[in-house]
Amino acid sequence: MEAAQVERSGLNVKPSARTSEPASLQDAAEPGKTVGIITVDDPIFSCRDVDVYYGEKQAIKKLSIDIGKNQVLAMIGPSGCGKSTFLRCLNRMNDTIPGARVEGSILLDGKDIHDKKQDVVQLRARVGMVFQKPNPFPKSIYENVAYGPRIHGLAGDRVELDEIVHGSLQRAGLWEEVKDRLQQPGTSLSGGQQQRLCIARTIAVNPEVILMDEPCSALDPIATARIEDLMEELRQSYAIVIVTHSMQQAARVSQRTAYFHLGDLIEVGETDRIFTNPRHKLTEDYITGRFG
Amino acid sequence: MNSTNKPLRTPAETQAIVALSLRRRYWAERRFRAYGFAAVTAGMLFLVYLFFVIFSNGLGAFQQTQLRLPIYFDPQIIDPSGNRNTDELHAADYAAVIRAALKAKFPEAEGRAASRELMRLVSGSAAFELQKSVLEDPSLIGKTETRWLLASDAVDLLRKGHIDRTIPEAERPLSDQQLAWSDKLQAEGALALKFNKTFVTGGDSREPENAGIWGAVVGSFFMLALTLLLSFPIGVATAIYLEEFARRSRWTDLIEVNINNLAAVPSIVFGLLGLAVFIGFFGLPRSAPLVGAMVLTLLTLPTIIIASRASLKAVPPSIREAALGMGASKIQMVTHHVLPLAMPGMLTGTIIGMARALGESAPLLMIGMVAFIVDIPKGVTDAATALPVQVFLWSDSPERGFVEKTSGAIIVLLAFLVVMNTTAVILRKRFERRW
Amino acid sequence: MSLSLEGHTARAFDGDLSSLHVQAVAMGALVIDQVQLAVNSYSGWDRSMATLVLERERKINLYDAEIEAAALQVIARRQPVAQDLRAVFAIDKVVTELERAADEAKKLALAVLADSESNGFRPGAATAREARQLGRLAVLMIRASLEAFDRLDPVAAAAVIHQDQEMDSEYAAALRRILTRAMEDVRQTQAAIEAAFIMRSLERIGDHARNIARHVGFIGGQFDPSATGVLPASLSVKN
Repeated sequence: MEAAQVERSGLNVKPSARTSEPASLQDAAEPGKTVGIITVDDPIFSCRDVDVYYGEKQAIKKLSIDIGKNQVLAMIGPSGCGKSTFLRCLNRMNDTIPGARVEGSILLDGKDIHDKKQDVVQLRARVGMVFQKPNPFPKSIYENVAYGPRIHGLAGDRVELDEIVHGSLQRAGLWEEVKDRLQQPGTSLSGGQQQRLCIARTIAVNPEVILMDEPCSALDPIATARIEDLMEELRQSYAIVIVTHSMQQAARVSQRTAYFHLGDLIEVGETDRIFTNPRHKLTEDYITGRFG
Repeated sequence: MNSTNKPLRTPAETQAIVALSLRRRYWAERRFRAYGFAAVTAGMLFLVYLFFVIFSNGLGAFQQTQLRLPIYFDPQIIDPSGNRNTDELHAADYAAVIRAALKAKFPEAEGRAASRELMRLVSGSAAFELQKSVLEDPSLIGKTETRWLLASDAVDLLRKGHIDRTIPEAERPLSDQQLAWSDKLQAEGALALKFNKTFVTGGDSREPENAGIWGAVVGSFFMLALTLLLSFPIGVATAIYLEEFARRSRWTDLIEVNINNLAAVPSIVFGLLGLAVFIGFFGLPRSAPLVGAMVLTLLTLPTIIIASRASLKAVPPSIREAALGMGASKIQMVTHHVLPLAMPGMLTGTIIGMARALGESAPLLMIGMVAFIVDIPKGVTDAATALPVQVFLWSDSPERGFVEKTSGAIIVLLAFLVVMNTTAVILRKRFERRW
Repeated sequence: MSLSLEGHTARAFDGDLSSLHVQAVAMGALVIDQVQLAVNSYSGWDRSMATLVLERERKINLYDAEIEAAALQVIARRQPVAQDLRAVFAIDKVVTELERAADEAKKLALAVLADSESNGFRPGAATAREARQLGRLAVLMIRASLEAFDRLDPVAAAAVIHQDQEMDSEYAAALRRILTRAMEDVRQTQAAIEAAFIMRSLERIGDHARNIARHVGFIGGQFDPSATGVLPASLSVKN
């Protein structure tokens, strides 16, 4: 085959294939340049050129990404790559860490979350978070779910509060299991149930986005499957951003996947495509297990 | 060294080596256990001995010797005018009534010297007891009644067996004649040990037989209540502020170092501070529980702050994050979630601080609670004394009769402590159950 | 993208994929021999060669079954993604194509062995020559596609796909010549039909070689797996 034809077809020109030459696909990270389409139509979150510093160390470099409504965005990448840091930026939990500095713009529904007029408490009612280790409050199951609505004044009276608690527990798939023991402490539940309780209390305040930081890493496969199933239901109502170490989980639950590497967003795209035909070598290496 | 070529030991070889070290390791453990056991036992023995000494010395304080005498309420002495005038009844010479009764008992007592010696068999307050009875019930006038009168401290000592009869008369509190009279009364059964109500209901006195602990108890109670009211909220709030809200800076580090140092400062220094600032500058009354409480607050604050900070630090950050993530404000996070979890530790710190405050006497001495207070204090600004100060004062007294009173006061102090601690532990258990 | 089945942190994974690949290549080598042998037996009308072809067929089928099972195991145990997933998928398909190519070769051998009551249609000199010609092309294509598969070389694979055009035109030409000869002599009609079938089988072997090449391209991620045409002019990756 002539070289010219090969050139036109865009195939790798070198005839000897088994050498490691830079291919037509990208294989080096460039800050601010992400492979794939970072925008979505009508996003709920819109981040542009976000930098995060912990003291002198830069944890996230010029990150730009949109997060869409009613879909699950999975963030994958090796440890220390910045995915949890970025997650915590979205509800300004990084504010609680002394020495953390966030630059760039993060817009929730068009408004900058770092604006002076934006109240961080209100932000956290709109953007809920579920943590890696289930951390129910040391109160009763009812109180756990009722706490959010109570402090934000979402329920007028006890009847309304009961309704909110009932609804949240039901949507979290926990109602049947705990309806007879709402007064028992939240810590008396199993790990998977506790995590669903944490999800229930998060949705009790009717957020727009749910952030999940490795929510299933402390759970057994059955509890994990339940929560993944729950995510599929939840995304009908909320946007979900999940950080996970399990690529299989990312492949199962998400519609979009973003791959992070040492603080850079390397590639983002439809999950189906990322896992069958990623376009950046770093992404390919990570998901196929070629880490060395 | 060609260590890389050395073959790995077989499991059997390793086990053999491990077996050799086992014996040595078990012996070390056994030795340590033995030391621990010995130490605990020694401690317990000393404690038992201490309690034994205190109780054996102090139980006597709860009993006081009383004399049984037939008393003729002579109307001529008590109510000469005959119209039961209260002022007259009040001012009558009841001592003479007693003297008459005693002389009737021991007619051989002739002359003023003997008469004085006879009177010394009863307490000086016996006359007031009669006065009180007559004022309450004037119909007694003219009657003869057998009454139990409070004996003097010397007779009390004799009755409790503390007087050594073998030493020369001049060195004894009771003369031979008085001894003879007392023995006679004893033989008749007219000298009895009764429960000493005055000890637990009365205030301090110069006379051992009249001395009571209640004034000191009330004073201590006022002081501790005030100290708790002042130090707990201030200490807890300080700890919360320093731990949760204050930004780490050189100032906060300095404050932390100073608080830690203050916990170790000798308590008398706080007394000096109280004297100079509260009494000297602000002009608060000396010897008042208010001032004592303020000084003790300064004393206990470092302990409470340190313990509270430690228990705040011990609350897992996951709870805080969960609360913040829900949209709780910082103060809500602290009061709704962190504080209930940290409460057991804070209460422990408070108990420790209060126990120390209860037993402190040096700073109280500095602010003037060494004064001799007979009245039971009614408010926090009345002059008062405290239990440990009372113990100090009595132990310092030359009167022989105060020895057992001192031990008795110590018993009361310990009882106070136990009650206080039990209350606090119950409170703490209630908080722990919720978690 | 440099195609490599190796480099995994879990080295056993490397081994699994490599052995799958190697087995497929070995099966391919057998199939190349098979095709050559079949062509020779037909054009030389050699019964012993034809019998040998039938015997070897069994071995090839065995390979097919083993490699399919091995591929299933890799999927179950390793949950491959991206290139690894495409590789396992493609190897499975390549093996299927090889098995079908071998079946076509078998047809040649069966044609020779069907001559028990002189019913066989021994090819004339012209037909034999055409068979050898097409056969040579088929073997070339199969060999080239397997070499591309062995090296995982998408460029070589693209070349094979291009070669299929040559095979198609040669086949068309051979068919025309057979038809012409048949029209000249009506008695040769049946022989001609038989010869046509033989040529058809050889052309199909070429098709299978082309498919193998396309699957090699799929591993490289250049081709849409559902594409049926030849090398697309503008290479647009899906999404």
